[in-house]
Amino acid sequence: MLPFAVALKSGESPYRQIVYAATKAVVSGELKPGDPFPSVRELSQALKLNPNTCQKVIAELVRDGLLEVRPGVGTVVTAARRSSAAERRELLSGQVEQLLVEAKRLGLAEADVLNAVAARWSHLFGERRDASR
Amino acid sequence: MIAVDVSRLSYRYGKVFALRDLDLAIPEGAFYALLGPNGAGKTTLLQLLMGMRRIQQGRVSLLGVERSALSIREKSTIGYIAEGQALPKWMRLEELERYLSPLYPTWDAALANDLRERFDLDPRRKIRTLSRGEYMKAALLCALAPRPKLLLMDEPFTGMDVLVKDELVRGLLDVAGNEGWSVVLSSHDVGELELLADWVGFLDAGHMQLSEPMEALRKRFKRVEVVLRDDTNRPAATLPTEWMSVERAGVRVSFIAPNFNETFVSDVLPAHFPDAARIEVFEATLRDVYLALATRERSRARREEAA
Amino acid sequence: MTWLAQLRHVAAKDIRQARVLLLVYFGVVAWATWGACKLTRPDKTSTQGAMIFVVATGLFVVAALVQADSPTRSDAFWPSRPFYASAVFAAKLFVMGAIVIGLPLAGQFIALSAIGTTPARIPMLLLVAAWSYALWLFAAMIVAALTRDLRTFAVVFVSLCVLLLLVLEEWPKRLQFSVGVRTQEIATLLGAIVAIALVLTLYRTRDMRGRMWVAGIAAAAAMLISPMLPSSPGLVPSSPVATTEAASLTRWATVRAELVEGPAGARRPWLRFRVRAEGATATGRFGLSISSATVYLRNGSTLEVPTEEAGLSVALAAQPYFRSVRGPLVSAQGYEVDAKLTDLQRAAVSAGFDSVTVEGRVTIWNRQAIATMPMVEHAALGVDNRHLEIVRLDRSADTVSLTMKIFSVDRSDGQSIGFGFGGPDLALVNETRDQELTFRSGNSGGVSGTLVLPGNEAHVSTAEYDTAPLRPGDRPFVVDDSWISESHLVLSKWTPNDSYPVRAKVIVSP
Repeated sequence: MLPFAVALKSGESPYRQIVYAATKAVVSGELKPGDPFPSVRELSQALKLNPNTCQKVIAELVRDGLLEVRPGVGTVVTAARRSSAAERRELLSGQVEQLLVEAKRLGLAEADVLNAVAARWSHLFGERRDASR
Repeated sequence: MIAVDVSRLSYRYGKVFALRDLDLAIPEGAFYALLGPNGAGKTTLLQLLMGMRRIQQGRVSLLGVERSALSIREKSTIGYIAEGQALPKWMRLEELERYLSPLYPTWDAALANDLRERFDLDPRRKIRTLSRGEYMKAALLCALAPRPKLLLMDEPFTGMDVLVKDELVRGLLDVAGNEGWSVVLSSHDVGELELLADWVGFLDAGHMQLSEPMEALRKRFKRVEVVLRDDTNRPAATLPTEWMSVERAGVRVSFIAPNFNETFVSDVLPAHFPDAARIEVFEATLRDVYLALATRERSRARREEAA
Repeated sequence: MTWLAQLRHVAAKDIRQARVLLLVYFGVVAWATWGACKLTRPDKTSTQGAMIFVVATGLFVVAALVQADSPTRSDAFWPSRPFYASAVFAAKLFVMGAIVIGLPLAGQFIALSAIGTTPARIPMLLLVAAWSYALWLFAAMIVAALTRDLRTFAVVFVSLCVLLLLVLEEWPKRLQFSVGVRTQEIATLLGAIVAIALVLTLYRTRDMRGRMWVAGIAAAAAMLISPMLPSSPGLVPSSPVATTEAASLTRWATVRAELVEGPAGARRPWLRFRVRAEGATATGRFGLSISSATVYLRNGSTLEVPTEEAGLSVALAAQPYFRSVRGPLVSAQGYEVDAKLTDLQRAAVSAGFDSVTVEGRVTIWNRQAIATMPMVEHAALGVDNRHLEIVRLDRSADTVSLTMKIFSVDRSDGQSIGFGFGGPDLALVNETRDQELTFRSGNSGGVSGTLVLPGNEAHVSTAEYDTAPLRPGDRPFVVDDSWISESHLVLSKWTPNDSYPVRAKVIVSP
């Protein structure tokens, strides 16, 4: 089992899917600095994915600064990496776009969307957020 | 280095050509998925690579050496599994291992033990008593233990139940992928290969219709869905012929484009659909590509027959 | 792994795989050997069956060996492994030679020794046996290489044998050709080389095209034909051990002919004569064959009628027609000859004729002494690749009789000639007194058969001889103990040497 959530969908580059999932896990704090990251072998076994692809994933994550290789320990999540809100928002951009396109298709207006978001947020996380923020 | 180099290979059974002027180049370290419909010639190709059939026409080189010039030592670095290959039924698994290991200088007994445990195979059982899944596991064990540089697999997972397939795939990945070996795996079932392979080739009508890295395939094959503003019929003739699996229903048009690039969205699509309401571009799954290619080949063959 | 190491490796695997079959084979060979060792016993009737079982089982073993690593099956396992194809094939050949041929060859050796074959002859006999067997095995090897499994092999092989037998039945009738033994030997040797080369090619190229099939079946047929061909008797004349008399005869035979039945009042339209040649001696006999009769008619014309032998249907070319009797030979009774008349001829002859002559040929047979034996029970002699033994000797006041056992082992291709079943001609010769008693042969019978392997044929026969009972005043000398002790047994053979045409006037009794 992998320490972060990833469900590979057919039709999309698995490489990009895993990079995305891993990045999301690190950025959202699910993977904490210093946590060991699965090796190429573990990734390959868990996802039944070609090890070359797994190798590329890790290389990309290392290049992005999300992971680092510690001699004698293996690949771990980099310590003290602060991700800006902008970075994090960027991660969501794809899904935001999907949400908006879908809303348009259903003929909703921007305000409807924001209300829906606010309602859902409080339902899930129990916080009141001012939609105007 | 090129692990498999095939040049103008032709093979026929009687009057029927199974392979016709086939060219193929597989780089070292690749996990090559050889796709194609039933009877496309995949088994013949793999048999020719392995040296189990006489080359009628063309050239085959493996790991840089002409097939006919392979020394015994070089041959011991090439492994082969086929559904239709009969392991000696009367031997026990341990006897088979003992029979094979002296033939391979690189036989790794520790790996063999490891795989045997992983596959949960009883070495004392006779091969004749093994179920189909166990049989393939035993075959895979015997193919992997010598740590081959090139592994040829002919439909190894066909008809396996999911659990066994899972074990086989993991076992294979564990050993092959991590050593930089080259693997050629043929299948007519696309699904399992999408994650495994980093190179893909499509064999149909005796030729390689396509042979490239998986990433390149993903980049250039896209599924496009267009929603037109109105129902005006756009004659199919105006659409480029290289677009495949073209479907229309009312205002929706979808197709697979094999030549997607940056200008596609900005120039090509607007040129063909100036009044599109919405255009969406999706990743084409390997299955989509396979179906598109196979269908195109079928209709081409039918047109040729009619002519 | 080196080539040689691979050969051993595959051979060991094959033996392990076929161990049950090999055990059965060993049993069959042991049983055949045990049976063959008993051939010389008087109660033995036939040994043919055992050899067939050995060959049949051997064929199966070879087929199993070859198909364990088939060169033509598309699902064969060995081609995807780093084997030297030639080593795989050589391993099969090795097991074939060492075990499939080797085991029964040892059995054959044991049997040959047990039945008392001359040791000097044994290596050659073993070679012939091994080669004849090898031909069968090569044929099996080819068919097994081309077929998928043992059942298909059996079907194809048996069909091939049946087909060949049918062809060979028909062929000699159409094509009377006789191939010399040397040519046959060379042809089979070449054929065997081709067979091995063919299967080796199959192993190396795994070429399964139709033409390989055709070549294979042709080669297999060639292998099988040799043991199936009727053996061409190569006449190898035996060298005599000793001669006691000069060979040639300067005397001429006297031919007597009598008219026994004439056309007048005859039930059938022919003339019947009784003819004989007289004047034979201890070393010279005459064979007589009459070809025609000439009738000199009263009206001056002559009538020539061809004759047929009647009565005794004796093949005159092979044997003198009269039997040996004791003492100075007297003329035998002769035999009857018929001359068939057409209606016209019958009428002419019935009208009356002056005389009749018969025309024919006289063949001079000379006796050649081959060997001598002391006249005691259990005296044994090896001559002309035969082993002779006096198993019984009886003497009464009137006669001497003995039973001789003769046995030999030959190459089955009929390369030696001997006495056949009847045994040699025997005479009791007393050189001190220059007197001789001839034996006449009585009952004889025997058994022949193969031992463990094909290619060697053993003949065991017994022949009985006795001297004819005395007629008063017939024998000028007394055969008593002292006479016998001074004499020895002379074995001789009669051979035809010369012949001349003869014409004899027919005695017509009124």
